[in-house]
Amino acid sequence: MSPAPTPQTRLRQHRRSRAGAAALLALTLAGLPAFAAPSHATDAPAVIVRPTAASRADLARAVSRALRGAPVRLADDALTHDSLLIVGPTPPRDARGLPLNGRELGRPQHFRLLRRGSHCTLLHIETGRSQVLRHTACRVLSSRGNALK
Amino acid sequence: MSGGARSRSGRIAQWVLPLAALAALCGCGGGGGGGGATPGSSGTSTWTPGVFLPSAHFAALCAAPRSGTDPTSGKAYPDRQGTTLNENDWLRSWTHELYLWYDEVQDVNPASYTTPNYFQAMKTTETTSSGAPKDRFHFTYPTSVWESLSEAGVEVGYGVQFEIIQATPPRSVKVAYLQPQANLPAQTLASNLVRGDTVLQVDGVDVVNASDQTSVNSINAGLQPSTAGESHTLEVLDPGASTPRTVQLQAANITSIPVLVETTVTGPGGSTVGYILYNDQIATAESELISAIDDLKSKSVTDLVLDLRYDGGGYLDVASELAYMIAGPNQTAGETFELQQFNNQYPTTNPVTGQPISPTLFHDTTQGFSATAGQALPTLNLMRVAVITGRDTCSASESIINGLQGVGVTVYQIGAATCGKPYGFYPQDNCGTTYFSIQFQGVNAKGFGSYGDGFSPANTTPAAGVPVPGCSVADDFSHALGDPNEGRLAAALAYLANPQAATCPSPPTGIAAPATVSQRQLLQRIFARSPLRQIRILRR
Repeated sequence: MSPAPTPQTRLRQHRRSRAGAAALLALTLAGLPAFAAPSHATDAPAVIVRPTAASRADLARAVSRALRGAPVRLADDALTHDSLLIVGPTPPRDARGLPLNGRELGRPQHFRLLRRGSHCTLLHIETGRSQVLRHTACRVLSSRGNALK
Repeated sequence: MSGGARSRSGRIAQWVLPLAALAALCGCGGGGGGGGATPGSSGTSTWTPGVFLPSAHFAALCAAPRSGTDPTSGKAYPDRQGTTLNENDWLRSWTHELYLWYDEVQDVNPASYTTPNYFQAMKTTETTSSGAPKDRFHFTYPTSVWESLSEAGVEVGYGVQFEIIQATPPRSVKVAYLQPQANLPAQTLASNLVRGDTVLQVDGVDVVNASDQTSVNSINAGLQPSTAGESHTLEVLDPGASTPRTVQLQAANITSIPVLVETTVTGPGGSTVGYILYNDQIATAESELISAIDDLKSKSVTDLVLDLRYDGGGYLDVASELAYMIAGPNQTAGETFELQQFNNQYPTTNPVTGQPISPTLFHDTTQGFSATAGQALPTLNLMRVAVITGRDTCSASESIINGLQGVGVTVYQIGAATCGKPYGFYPQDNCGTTYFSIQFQGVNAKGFGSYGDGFSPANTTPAAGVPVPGCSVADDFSHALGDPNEGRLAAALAYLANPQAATCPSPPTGIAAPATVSQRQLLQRIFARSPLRQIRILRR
């Protein structure tokens, strides 16, 4: 099994994903409308630090509440690398593992984690509603995508 | 038709339709009207063949009504006490209103069936030119599960995609690919699994030869765990090895990377050819594809090999964006990427949204899935593209091929026949079951969408589906994906070098028809389980 070029390529890919996230953040901070720039003067995109079981449950509850109580599955590291969280229907699969609805016509929902004063606040971009995450520690992201203490 | 409005307040309402559209829906969902089955307080009905009341008449009349709050609407479930017959009457009318081939459905007495069996009767029995059933995509799903949500790309698993090469004894199950190391659970990382590993045993059960259902269930549970934290033991044989080894895997919530590989390879005459392995058309794919195309553009690629062999579809808008990024504005400006065609009762109006039917155009800007909406997309401006396909290339993934062909982009196909799913659904809840019944066909700018047997490379033996110039080549598990020596990528590069006098490798036999009845039946036999488990088992 020839190893080339996949390991390097995968690494590049992963770096590119991070770079893409940083670029996305930069666009958001530049005030582009689609992903709802912070609405309060003190709002700043943030990421979760030191996630715990309590903070994960806090986040899952907030997302579920924003989406009328639907059950939601999040990654353990959700919002720890990026301030944007994308949530959509879990794509059910058929017996071969293919999406049952392979022509998805809908749109996902977007959330932005913000540092608002001393609070970590989750903004549901589509509705503009926000919730404070009381059991969550977060820190502001710099415009270059680096977390600031 | 207020009952109809409530019955449609499923996940479609939350993700697709604004409430206003739901109101419009109520005004247009009626079928033949008058006569037909009439629900009585006892649930009896008078079935008159060929006469249909509006489905709204029977909506939410349930043998076992739900109580509580519908999470997608925040309101109480609309269910009222009804009967199995009411549910069947609803299915009969709903099918007559919206099913793409409603006029090929035999109108059978709803009083003679259980609801699951009646739904199975509510589809065409016609076959395609290959002899396969015309409708291979007729499903139900528990609404409570269908309405569940997840972070984009997050599902329970090991971060390993298994591929079923041979579904019956002697079975062959191989590792197709793994997610990037950073996304793998510790035990998967420690397992050192690689593409091409053959799975011999799962939790002590012989994957190759086991024939009883209990063993099959164990294999299913081990290959596709349903709960984070589950542990299973696999015996695997590494490529080139003669002695199996045992690995322990523990499931976790895994984040999938939809664009797993993007690289350049040396093409014909030393040219630079881009390669993208695109596995999952999920929301995060939008920003990843933009990054990939940007990168390939910066490297001045002259050709692209788009690897869709494991891409089962997803967001149609993202598929349109990718097609635009490949072809560029000159070939796509104002052109249709895909147009929905409903049954002949609705030639101009989408019967579900109530809106005029309008095409999905080639998107030249981001649509706001994971990239900020409204930004110009980068383009490669290619007149031709080589697409690697397999039986998992399905639905919105096939739309990329069809959409590009519709605007005159030359598509070369390398690999095996695609799944053949030019169709789509508006899944519909009634009484706690969500029904998937084909409601529309997607056609390209030329009005073509008849690929129910899939697309297949022209030299496929035996011939299957819509032939596309290219080569039939088996999946090559002995090389990494993106390795120019990998069989399908190598064939793509050779084909691009001289398509007029292309020399394909000797075509394999037996890989051309993944969608045949027999293979699907075999898969379902092997992986027979509840609908939920069916979803889990071959999940990648």
